[in-house]
Amino acid sequence: MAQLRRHQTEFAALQTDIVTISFEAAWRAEIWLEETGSPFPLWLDPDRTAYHAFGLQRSFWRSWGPKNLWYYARRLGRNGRKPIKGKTDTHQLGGDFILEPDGKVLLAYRSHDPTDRPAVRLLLDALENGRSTT
Amino acid sequence: MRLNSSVSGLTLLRVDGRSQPLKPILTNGRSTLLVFLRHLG
Repeated sequence: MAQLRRHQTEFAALQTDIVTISFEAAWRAEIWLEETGSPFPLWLDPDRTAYHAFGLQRSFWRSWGPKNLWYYARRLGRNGRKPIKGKTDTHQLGGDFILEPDGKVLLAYRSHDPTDRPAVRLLLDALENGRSTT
Repeated sequence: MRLNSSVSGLTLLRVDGRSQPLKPILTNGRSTLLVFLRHLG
């Protein structure tokens, strides 16, 4: 998210809106927005209809592998942001999609694990070149 | 690859509880990057 924020003007120059989607409850989303100051709209998909429609997955093993445990440990050490209390589903993997107004999907990136996000350069390249990456 | 028409008919929610159809933002003449977040903890 921090990377997207840093490159926000480049996406805007490419006539691209960024929308974030979460399956979490509204109260958790409000806390997250307050803590992160995310500049992007946050929409909620509590029953995961959109999540499933875009073919996104959940996985216990891919969510709690050593790579992800290390990521969470580093994050706690780096910025001290404590986890939001309350029950949540930590096994959702997430993903990124670039959609054109005519319905063309420029990029479909389904994350292998929760720390796996596409590089901003890949997103910008897809927009600049119209390449299809799935 | 093209977006399935059933996807563009989806409705999400705003944080304040109001409905947010996906279609308007997909047909506003601009590209859209949808970022599906993992859990927010």
